[in-house]
Amino acid sequence: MRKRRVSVRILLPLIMSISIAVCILTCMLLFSHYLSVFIVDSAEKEVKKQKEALAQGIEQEIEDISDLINTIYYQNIKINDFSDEEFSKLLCNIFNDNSDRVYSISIYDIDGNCIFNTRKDNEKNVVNKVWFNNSVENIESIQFGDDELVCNTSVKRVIPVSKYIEYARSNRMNQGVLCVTFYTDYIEQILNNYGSTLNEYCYLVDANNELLYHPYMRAIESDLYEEKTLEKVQNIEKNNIVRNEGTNWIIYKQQLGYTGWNVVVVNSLSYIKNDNLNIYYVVWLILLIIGAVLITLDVVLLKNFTDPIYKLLRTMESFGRGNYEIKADENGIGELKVLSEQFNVMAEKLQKQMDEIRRNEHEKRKMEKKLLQSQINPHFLYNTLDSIIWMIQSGEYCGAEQMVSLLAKFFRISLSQGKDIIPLKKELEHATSYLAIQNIRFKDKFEFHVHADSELTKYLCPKLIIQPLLENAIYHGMEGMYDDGEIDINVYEKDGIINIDVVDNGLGMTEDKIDYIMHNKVVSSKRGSGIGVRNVNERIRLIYGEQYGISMISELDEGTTAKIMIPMLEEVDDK
Amino acid sequence: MTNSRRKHLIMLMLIGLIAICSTLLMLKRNNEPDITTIAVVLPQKETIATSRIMDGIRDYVLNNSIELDVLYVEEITEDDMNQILSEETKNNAIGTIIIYPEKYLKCDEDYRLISENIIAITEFMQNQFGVCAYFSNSSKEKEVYDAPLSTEIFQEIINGIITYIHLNNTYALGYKTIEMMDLNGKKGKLSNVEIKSVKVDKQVIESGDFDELLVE
Repeated sequence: MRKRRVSVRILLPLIMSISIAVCILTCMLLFSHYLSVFIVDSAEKEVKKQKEALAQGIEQEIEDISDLINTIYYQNIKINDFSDEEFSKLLCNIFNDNSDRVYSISIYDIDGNCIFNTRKDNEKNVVNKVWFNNSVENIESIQFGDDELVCNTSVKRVIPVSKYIEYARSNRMNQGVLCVTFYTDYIEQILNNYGSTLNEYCYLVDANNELLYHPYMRAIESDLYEEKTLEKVQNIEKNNIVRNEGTNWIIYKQQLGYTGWNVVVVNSLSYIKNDNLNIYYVVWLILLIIGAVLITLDVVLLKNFTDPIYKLLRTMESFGRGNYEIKADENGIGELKVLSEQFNVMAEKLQKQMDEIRRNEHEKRKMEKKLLQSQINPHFLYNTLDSIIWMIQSGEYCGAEQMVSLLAKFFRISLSQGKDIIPLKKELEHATSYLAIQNIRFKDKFEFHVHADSELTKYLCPKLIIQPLLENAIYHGMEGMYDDGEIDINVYEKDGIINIDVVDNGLGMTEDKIDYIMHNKVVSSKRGSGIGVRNVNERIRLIYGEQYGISMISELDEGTTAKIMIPMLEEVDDK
Repeated sequence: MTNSRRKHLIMLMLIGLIAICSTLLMLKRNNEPDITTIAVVLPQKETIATSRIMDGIRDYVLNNSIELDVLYVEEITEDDMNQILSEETKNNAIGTIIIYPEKYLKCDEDYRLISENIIAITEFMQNQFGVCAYFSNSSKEKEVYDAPLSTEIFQEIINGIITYIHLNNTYALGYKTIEMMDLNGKKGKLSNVEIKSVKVDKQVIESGDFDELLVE
């Protein structure tokens, strides 16, 4: 299976971007965690502070109440005789001075009988009251009773506060209970100053965890609201964060002196966090922007590093495929630029060497070509000259003259002022001259005909390409023939290619012989031009390409057809 | 400028644009939930009963992101009432609570206020309004009083002159009425609010279970 190549251009920015994203996310999580801890701590401290302030306010009120009771007891009851007329007046004066907060001042004997009351309606059955019994049992401390309703100018809530007392009556010491009934208004006012929304509120519970004050007391009594933290308040000594109905609550409670009451402050942590949500969003946004900028910079920076490498790679690949002209862009940072520059230097040197090799190869081929062209066997010339001499000696002056003329023409065209490519017309003239000379030499042993389309004779062809084929026809085809030999040269165009067929009706050749002639450096005869068919074929292919050249078809006793195929190339004016 | 540089510039501009938009959105962002407006029409002359109803309404409002549009009226006609309702609709109020219309609305007996999202807290004009809030047993009982307890009644119960009374919890009436409006006003599925009166006797008073309802 082929392994997929992972590009550094993608891999590096990807790894860096993922790393940055992970870092930013980690920062966001850490920030969220620490901010959350900070918010919770701050909120807890704040709630604790508020609870202490509330407790302080209520304790101050309780202290005032205690002070009043102690004043009544120690500065009035204890130092005066109950039977004294001034005694009642003193108590009534104290009552009148504190009538805005005190509903009544009453004294009961140890049996629960009322012996003094600032109000006319004496309370009955006080022996059943908790505050009375507690006072009798705890003679040192002040007792706070359960709240109850009283009727003054309107129906109001009061709290009975009692103390065990010893009083003198007719110079005789008696035991009893002093009860001062306070309106709850003052305490409620202190608590009302605190927030009263369901996210931030406080309430007051007595020793039995019964509600004494709650901002939603009416809703609670109307079954419209339920204080769900009430049960949990008892167990919040250590952990002040309580989960209730999917919301975290900060709950602080503090006992108020010796009353047994507890003030409870409740704050919704979710609400506090929600209130600070903007800080989260701002920091998250800043971190995200930083992340985005870092990723962008990372991509841009790495692109500046990897792009030149990538381009150089592409250039090298193209160079490897043979595009030696290609140059690497000399850009990039530091060593990357040097790398491109050095590649270009290397490529340039390599290209020069390649050009040199190519030029040498070309020269070599050219030389080979020249060599091939110049391979004209001198035997042909000697034989022809021998024939001329013989013709002169035997008085055949006309024939000798014709032969000399033909030989001159033959060599003129052979030389062609050093040109390699000549018009087809000249080549045909050359072939005709050759055939005519040979025909004289062979004493009209064969006939020859040239059929050429006059339109085609203007096209160019390499010189001396027909003659070797004619040699082949004469020496292989005509030998053994008696007077009826025929050699035809047919020139025609087929599919845009010039076809030159040399057809003889000689003895023909086997395929093996054709193959041998086509692929071996053989000449038709020692007496001939000395240029082999293979050489001609190679020359044509060298000049025009592999699709051109010579093909041969032969049949024994029927004859041979050698076909030359060359392109239709016209001579153009040098100017 | 090359194509890649242009791309980077566009990318940075996009990031900047996102940052600016996000910041603007955040600055405009309010963590508070959407505020719903509810109109309340009540008599100019405040009584303890209307005050208690309003206490209930306000306690609910305080914790439910509602804004009250309170209108005190003295004497109004049917047309005035229609105008008030139309103006409240313009003010985007989801509904109107009409408290004791019998005290200020002058209209014929066959007058019918056909309008959506209105709850009238009334005992005497229930025929004129589609949806009403009222005490279910108040008219059947003889001794029925609105909270809080008056001193006389309190004394009579304490002294055993009256065995018990029925007390109308006007606070709960206000609370439940606005709750109905808040929860169902937008959906247009308002229904009557019926509150049972509380039976108050000496035992109840001494138990302290309804202290806050009984006191002023």
